Amino acid sequence: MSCLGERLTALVDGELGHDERERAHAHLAVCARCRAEAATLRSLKGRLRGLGGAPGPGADDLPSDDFLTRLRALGETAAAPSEPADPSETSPGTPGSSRPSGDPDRFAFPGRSGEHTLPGRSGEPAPTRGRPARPRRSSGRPSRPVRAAAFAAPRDTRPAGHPAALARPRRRFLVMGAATLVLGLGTASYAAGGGRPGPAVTPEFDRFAVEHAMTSGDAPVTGADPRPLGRTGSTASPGASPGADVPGAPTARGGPVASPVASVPVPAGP
Amino acid sequence: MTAASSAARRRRRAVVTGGIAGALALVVALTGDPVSARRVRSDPAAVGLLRAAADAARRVPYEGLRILTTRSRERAATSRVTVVHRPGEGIRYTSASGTSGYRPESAAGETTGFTSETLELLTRNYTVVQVADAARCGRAAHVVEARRADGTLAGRFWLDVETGLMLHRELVDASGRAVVSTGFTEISFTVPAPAGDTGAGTSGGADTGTSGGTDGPARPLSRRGSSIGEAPEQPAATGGDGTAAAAGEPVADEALDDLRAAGWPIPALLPGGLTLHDVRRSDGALHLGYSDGLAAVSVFVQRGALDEGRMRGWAKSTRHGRTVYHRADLRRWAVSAGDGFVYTVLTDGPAATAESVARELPDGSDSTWARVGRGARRLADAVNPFD
Repeated sequence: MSCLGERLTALVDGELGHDERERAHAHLAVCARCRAEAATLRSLKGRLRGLGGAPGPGADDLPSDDFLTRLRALGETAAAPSEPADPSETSPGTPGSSRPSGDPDRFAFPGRSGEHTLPGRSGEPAPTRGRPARPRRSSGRPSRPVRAAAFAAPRDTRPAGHPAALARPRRRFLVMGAATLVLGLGTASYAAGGGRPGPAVTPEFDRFAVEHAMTSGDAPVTGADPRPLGRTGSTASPGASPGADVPGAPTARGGPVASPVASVPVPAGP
Repeated sequence: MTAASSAARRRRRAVVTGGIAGALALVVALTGDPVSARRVRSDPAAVGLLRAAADAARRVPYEGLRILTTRSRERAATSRVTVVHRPGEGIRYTSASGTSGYRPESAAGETTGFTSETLELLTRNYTVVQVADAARCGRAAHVVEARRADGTLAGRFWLDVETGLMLHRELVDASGRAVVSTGFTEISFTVPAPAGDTGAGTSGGADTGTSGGTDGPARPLSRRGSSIGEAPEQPAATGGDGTAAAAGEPVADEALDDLRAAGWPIPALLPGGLTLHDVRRSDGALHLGYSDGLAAVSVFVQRGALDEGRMRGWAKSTRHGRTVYHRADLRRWAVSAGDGFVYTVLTDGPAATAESVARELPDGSDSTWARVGRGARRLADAVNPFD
């Protein structure tokens, strides 16, 4: 830390009183180290504010305060062991923060996916709009748990729409969804196509024999139907035995005749 | 100098002449119909006789006994029916066992086995010639023969000299054996009794002899050709509807394209030069009529899967993963299934024809893609609200 300690950040934040500020400025004039630190803090603050995009009026200062507080905490805990601080600051609902840090990316996916897709994603830190991807990627660094804890802290209520941050998982969702869709449809099609198609059919051999005889010029009678003779000559109802009723009602040449089997007209031959 | 130039000119002229001649020859070869060249060998008078027979079949009233005999190496089967034709009323058939059939007058001309399309196929695939007259059914008859390209006999037709009616026809296989023989064994051109009295027990004096003749020999014959008589084995050999003639509703060419687009397998050609010439639709089945001019092959296509449990009594052969059920009755049957369709092949010709046709019909090779495609189609059908 610098010679000014807390007062340097207070100076950068404009929180010092008049005297204190004068004193600090005087110190900065002679202490290059403090000057450099103040410049760093200022530039950091400026950058963070710039990253925030165009926040609504009045909300301008909130994130910076919040985040600078966290930055301060970062500075303090940088020397101290970071892991113990982790669970205390983590909201209980985020399993991502307590996961082992060995393979962050793999485990990050399901945990974060919940954060991103659930409506409660406003709990995510808004001031880091566009940036959370970076800490995630660099989560192997020692400071990661603290940052993760900071991200998990549901203090900021600003809407978090981060196309850049969400692009990777979202694309992955798309790919996964498409793959699932294709695989699912394919499997369903395969399953549906496997069964014996259509209803079980027994060809109507008798009818086919008659139809074949009709077109091949032979007698359209079924060979040895064991029906009683009496029925043939009887004048049955038109529907039951159309052959019998036709002589009684001769049709015009070429005119349609009620077909006995299919109940469709039998038109003139070619 | 002049000699050289004249030689060059002569050569050029020769080249030009040769080129023109070659081009002409090419044009003739390309546009000339090789079929017509072959058709020339057919005797127009003989073809005219066949054509006239169809007209006579509509015009001439007759009554008689008609047989259909199919022969293979092992067996022969015969069916005989009495037949009465009154012009304008159609043709009534009565089999020995009492079943009756009816052919509307509009289709009377097809009793010759020929339509204009099949006649065209006949002259295309065979040489049709007229040979010396002979006698048939005790009547003088013109004899027309259809010959294969190698000159062997493929079919023979007897046409009544007086009326022009086709009395008999025969299909002959490559070994010279008559495999199909159909026609009249008795015929009378006396005008039959009035309509409405044409049962098996006919009343007319002229008919009595015919009827008696039918009943006498018909019983042993029908037993000999018992394949068709085995009603329990023939799954659908019942039902009054089956007795009457039925040819489905003809399908126009445009509708044919629609059917093809809807997935119905309708091959235009089958092995053995069989050409699709007639498509009818009836009661869920598509009746595809194939012919090479002589042999008629009917293919019935139905949607669904073959109920194999009902195919008892049929011979079953599997080759290349394709199962074909077949049996040789009076006619040759072969049944196969594939790709959601059941095919029933029926022909009067050799059994091998029916089997090979059944085997060749699309079976929708059950590859994974075919299966997935079929399933997708089915799923789409299931969810399509506009169906």
